[in-house]
Amino acid sequence: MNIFADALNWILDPANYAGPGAIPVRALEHLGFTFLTLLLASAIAIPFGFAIGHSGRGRGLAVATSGGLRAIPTLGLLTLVALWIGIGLGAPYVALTVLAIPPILAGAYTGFEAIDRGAIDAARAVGMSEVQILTQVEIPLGLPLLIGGLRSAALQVVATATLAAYVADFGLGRYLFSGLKTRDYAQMLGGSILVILLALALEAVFATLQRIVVPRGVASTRLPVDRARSARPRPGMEPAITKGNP
Amino acid sequence: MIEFRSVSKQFPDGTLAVDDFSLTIPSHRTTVLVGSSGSGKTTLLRMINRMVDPTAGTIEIDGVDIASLEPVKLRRSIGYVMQNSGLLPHRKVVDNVATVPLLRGVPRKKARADALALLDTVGLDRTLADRYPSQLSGGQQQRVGVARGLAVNPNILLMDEPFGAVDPIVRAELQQELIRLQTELGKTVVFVTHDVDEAFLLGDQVVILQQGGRIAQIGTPTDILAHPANDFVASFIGAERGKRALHLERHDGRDVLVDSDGRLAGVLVGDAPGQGVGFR
Amino acid sequence: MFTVKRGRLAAIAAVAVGAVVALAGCASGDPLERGSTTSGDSKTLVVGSQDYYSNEIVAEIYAQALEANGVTVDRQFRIGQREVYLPDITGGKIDVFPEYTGSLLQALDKEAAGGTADETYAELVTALPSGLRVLDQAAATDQNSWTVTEAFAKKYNLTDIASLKNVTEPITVGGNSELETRPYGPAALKEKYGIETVGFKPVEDGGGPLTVKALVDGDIQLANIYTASPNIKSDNLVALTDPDGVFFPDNVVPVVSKKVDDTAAAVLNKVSAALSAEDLVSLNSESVNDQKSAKAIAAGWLKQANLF
Repeated sequence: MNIFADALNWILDPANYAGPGAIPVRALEHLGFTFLTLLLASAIAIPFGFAIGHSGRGRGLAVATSGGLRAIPTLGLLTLVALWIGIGLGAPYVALTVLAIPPILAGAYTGFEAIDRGAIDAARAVGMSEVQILTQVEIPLGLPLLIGGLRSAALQVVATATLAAYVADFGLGRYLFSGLKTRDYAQMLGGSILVILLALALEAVFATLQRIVVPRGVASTRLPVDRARSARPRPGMEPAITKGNP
Repeated sequence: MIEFRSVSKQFPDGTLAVDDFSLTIPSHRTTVLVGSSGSGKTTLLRMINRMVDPTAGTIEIDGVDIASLEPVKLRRSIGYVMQNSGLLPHRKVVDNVATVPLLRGVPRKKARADALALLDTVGLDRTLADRYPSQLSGGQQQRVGVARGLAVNPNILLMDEPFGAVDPIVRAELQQELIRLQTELGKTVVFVTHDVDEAFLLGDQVVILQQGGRIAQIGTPTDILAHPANDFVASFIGAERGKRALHLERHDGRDVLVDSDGRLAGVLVGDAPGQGVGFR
Repeated sequence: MFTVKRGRLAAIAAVAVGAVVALAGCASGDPLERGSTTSGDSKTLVVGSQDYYSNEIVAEIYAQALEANGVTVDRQFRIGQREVYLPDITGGKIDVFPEYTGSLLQALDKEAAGGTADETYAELVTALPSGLRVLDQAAATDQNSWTVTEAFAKKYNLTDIASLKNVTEPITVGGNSELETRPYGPAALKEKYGIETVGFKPVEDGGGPLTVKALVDGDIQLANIYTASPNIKSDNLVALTDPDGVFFPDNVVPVVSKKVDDTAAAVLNKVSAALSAEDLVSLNSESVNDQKSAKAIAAGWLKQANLF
């Protein structure tokens, strides 16, 4: 219990709440970095994902590319980019955005693929344009899985954004590197615990979001089902069945 | 009037769904395309609203070649009802019905009011208007689908095996509704089915199709029943082995109908009941 | 009934795993403590190195020299920072380790006085705990240094560390995060010379290419680059001279355990006698610029030194 106790003491130590390297400051930096990375990755991944899901083409290429991107070690990519553009946040943003793209891309196109083909076909047949199908049918119905992809990406980014501290005075990773290098394991473990807490908080937010965006009518199991007789009684015609199915 | 002129459709994978098909579909009547799967009946139907485009030949609606028309606009002027209703699951019933009017720019309030009236037309309780499709039974969903098809008061109503996914009792009800609607509204209905009894029930003109959209016979139900054109038609309608050739017999003081094998096919009950049912 | 039993078993297993994990955390304070290394028979010596390419080359030279004289060598390279491997050496898990006199002295004794290379060496000998000793030091040095770009040095007429006083723009320091708290770090600059640095930018590659690039790009003005680094020449950098000994002299010296006998010691001393400062720079250059392996570089140097 020594290390965990030390780490908890470190987290609760008021000295760590003052100054530029304070816990709240680093945590906010870390969170801000995560959100901006998700934004950048979404800007790239979502249009492609929607295009693939809507047209039904290019899925194989997307899967292969995602696999390739996932295989790139983030620290290696970060170092390579930093050698090119220098220290600071540029390289971390590039490397972490690459990390975040595959799950968001998958969330975007699987969200569309999960939609009942009949509904889409009907939408087209009654006269919706392709854009209208996209905005009025596919996006609302595909949103839950897209949020799921964002959730997965958020988790990966918040855990790996500690690497930003490799080349920048930024984020919760500073506690990890500093603690590691100076053998201050309380700091290192404390920093890790903070990252975990942040990750759990994001998970909770996204889980809620994922539930909220399910369109009413799709989460049908929870809505009251009214299977009352639909036909008006017509003269001379005995209803074949009484209550229940029309 | 819908006119098919030497229409063919070959899909990219090589299948020839329809080969040199020509047909005139009269206005204000119900024309039924009936055949087994692979006969191209659904393909032909979907060519009318340009969900499928022919690889050869032309299709004209009231003299206008539809290839010259913008597909989205065309579809908004034609009613389309499919199997499994194809309703948007995330929209309320009333909004589903009002889909096309809203697309055409009708103000929201009016579109909804019209939609509610349409629910009456198809025999649905107005209390269902604010429910979601998943809360409705299969039969109710199909009625909503029909209401949606009628929303812009189109001249043409395309129906692709719309009653195939519901149980026989509901199917019979829906068939009766359609007949009643037709009597009231007189649309040009093109109806696709694989069920020959349904074809004879609903069709003013029945087109029996073989593989590749080849027409085996066109005619009124009575014509086809009385004079099947060839063996294919005969077996298709069940005329072989005398299942359709019935004669009257007297059993226990009642008139019964018996087929050529001596099997009891039905009981004669006198005049035709209430609304148009059976053969015209 | 069967499922209840299975469920209970799974619960017990989960608790057991959890308990093991918790107990592991309750164990001794060093989570990075490695398992014991068995060195086999008495003729096998374990040679270790820091996680620093230059140190690894020297360690490889030691290893190959010993092997050329009939000693079996077990290599344990790239162990990590001093905090990690010192206990291993005192604990007898490592037998030979290339170190740097001044840095090691400061790590063992924060109040050490330092001075010239010989003074530092003498102090180190007394500072070492029992069970450890150092052999002869080499002329080769790999000093910590405060380094700037040539242009920066020219602009403010910089020669030694004290001359940083001439700098009128804000100075940002860059380097490994431990530099912030090292005795010779920015704190020493302030205390000894009154030089205020305005910020610290962590670059965790130990004075490597990212740090050099940051210096060249002007993201940082002052970095800690080892004097034997080939980048100093190739990237037009200037290592400020250190007349006051802010950084202790860092001569390369082998730290050895009790297991190293006189014959082995003699071998290592021969190596140290032949290793010059220029040699070290060119060894480093072969690694960084020619991308040769430590093995090849060590073999090449031993060949041309012709010691055995």
